[in-house]
Amino acid sequence: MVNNLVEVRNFEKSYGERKVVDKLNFTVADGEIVGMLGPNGAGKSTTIRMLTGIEACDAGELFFDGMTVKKDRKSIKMQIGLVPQDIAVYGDMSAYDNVKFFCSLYGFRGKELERRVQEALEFVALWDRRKDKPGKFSGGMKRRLNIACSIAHSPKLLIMDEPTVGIDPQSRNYILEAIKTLNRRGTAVIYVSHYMEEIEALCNRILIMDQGQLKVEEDKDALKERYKEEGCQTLEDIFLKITGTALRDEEE
Amino acid sequence: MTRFKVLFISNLKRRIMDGFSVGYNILSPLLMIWLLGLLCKNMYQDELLTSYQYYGVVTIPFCIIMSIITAAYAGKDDAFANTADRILLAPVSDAEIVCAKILAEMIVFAGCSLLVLLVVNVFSNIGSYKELGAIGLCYLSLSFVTACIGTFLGLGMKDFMKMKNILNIPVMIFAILGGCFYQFGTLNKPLQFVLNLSPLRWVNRSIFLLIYDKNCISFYRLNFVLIGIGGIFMLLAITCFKREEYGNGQLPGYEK
Repeated sequence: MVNNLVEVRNFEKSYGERKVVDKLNFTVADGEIVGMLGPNGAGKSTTIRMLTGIEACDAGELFFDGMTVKKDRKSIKMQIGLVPQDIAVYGDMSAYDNVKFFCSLYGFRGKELERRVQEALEFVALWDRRKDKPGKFSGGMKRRLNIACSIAHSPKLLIMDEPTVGIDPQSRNYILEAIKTLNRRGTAVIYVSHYMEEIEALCNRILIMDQGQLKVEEDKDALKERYKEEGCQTLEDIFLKITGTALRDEEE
Repeated sequence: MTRFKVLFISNLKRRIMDGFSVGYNILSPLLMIWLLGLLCKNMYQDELLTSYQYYGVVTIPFCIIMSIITAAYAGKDDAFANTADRILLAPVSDAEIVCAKILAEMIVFAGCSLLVLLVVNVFSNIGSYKELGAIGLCYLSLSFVTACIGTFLGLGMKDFMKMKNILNIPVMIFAILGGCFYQFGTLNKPLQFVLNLSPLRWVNRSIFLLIYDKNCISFYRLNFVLIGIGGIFMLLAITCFKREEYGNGQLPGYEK
C-alpha cells in the first residue's frame, strides 16, 4: 500500500475579493515525483506557499506524514525543502556559507553541519567553487546552488518551482538527473514547471491547476491514454485541452 | 536558541558590513561634530563647555535615531536577497526573526556610537571614562528603541517605500527641537514646552545633567523609559510581523 506523505484537504485562499485557491485537494505519495502544471495565475505559487507554511491558508488542512500543521508545525518544516523560482541566496556570502547558513537554520551544528554542506555542494557539483560568491557564478551554477541550499537538511519532500528557468541544456540536464537521483534516495518531489518535456521526463503523476482549482490529478500514463482518443498526442496538447488556449494575463 | 543564534550572527555580520551603519553611525556624526564644532566655536567662548563638547554630546543620539531608516531597511534584507521565503520555511519563529534583527542592529548602532564618543573624547574631553560608560549604556537603550521602531516599520508596514521617505521628517524636527543644531536655552515657557516634545531633548538634557551636574536620576529614568518604549515596539514588531511583507522585495526605486 502506498503511503501518502502529503495530503491537502480543501485548501482555500483569497486576496481581497479574488479567490486564488478554491477547495484544493490532492495527495503526494512517499517517494513519487508529482508534476504541477497550470497557466499563469492558476494558483500554483500560492498553493506552494501554503504547503510550505510561508503563507497561511484561509481554510483547509495539511497532513504531512501523519502529522498536522497545528500540532507538529516544526517537525513538518524540518522535512520540507523549497527550491524557489528566483535565486534565493545571499550575494555577499560564499556558496559554502550560503548552504551552511540555511542548513544551520534546521538546527544542524559542528561536524554534522559541515558534512551536510559538503554533501549538498558535491551533489550539485559546486564543491570546487565553494569559496566563490554567487555573483561570479553562471545562471546554471546559481540554479544549482539554489538547489544545494534546499537539500542540505535532507527533506522528505522537495518542492521545486521552475528550477530550470533560463539555463543552458547542460545545466538543465544536470539538474533533472539530480532530481532523479534525489528521488531514488527516497525524496518525494513536487515539480512545478511550464516545460512539458521536463514534466514528462520526470513525473509519475500530474496535477493540473487552473483558476485556483484542481482540474486533473492523475497518473501520467493513464492521463495520456485517456486523452489519446480525443486526439491529444502530447502532454502539452492535454494541458491546452484542459486549460484552453486563451491568453492568461492575470497577476501571479 | 541555536537557530536564533544563527540568525543573530548572520544579521550582525550583515550590519557590520553595511555601508549605512558605518556611514550614518560613524562617518556622519564625526563629520557633523567637526563641522558644527568648528562653525560655532566662537559662540561657546563664554560657556562652560566647548562647541566640540556640546556637539559631541548632542550629535551622536541624533545619528542613532536617524538609524531608524537603516533598521527599517535591515528588515528588508532578506526580501532583497529573495531569501525571506527560505527563512520562513525553516523551523524558526517570527519572534526569532524579529528579535535577531533588533539585537544585531542595537549592538552595531550602539557600538559605532560608542566608538565615535571615544574618538571625540580624545580630542575634546567630554567626560571621564566612568561617565562615558554610563553614556554608552544610554546609547544602548537608545539604539534598542531605534532598532525596535525601525524593525517594526520595516517588517510591519505595508507601504515600505512611502514610509521610508517620510520617516526622516519627524526625526529632523525632533533633532532641531532637541537642540542638535542650535542651543535653545533662553526661550520663553510656551516655546520650551514645544521643545520638550522632542525625545532627543530629554536624551541630551539627561546626558548633560550626568556629565556636568553629576545628576544621575533623570539619566536612569530616561534609560528606564527608553527600554520600556523599546519593549513595546519590539512586541508590536513581533505581533504585527507580516509574512507577506517580510518576503516582499519588489520595491520600486531600490537597486540591489
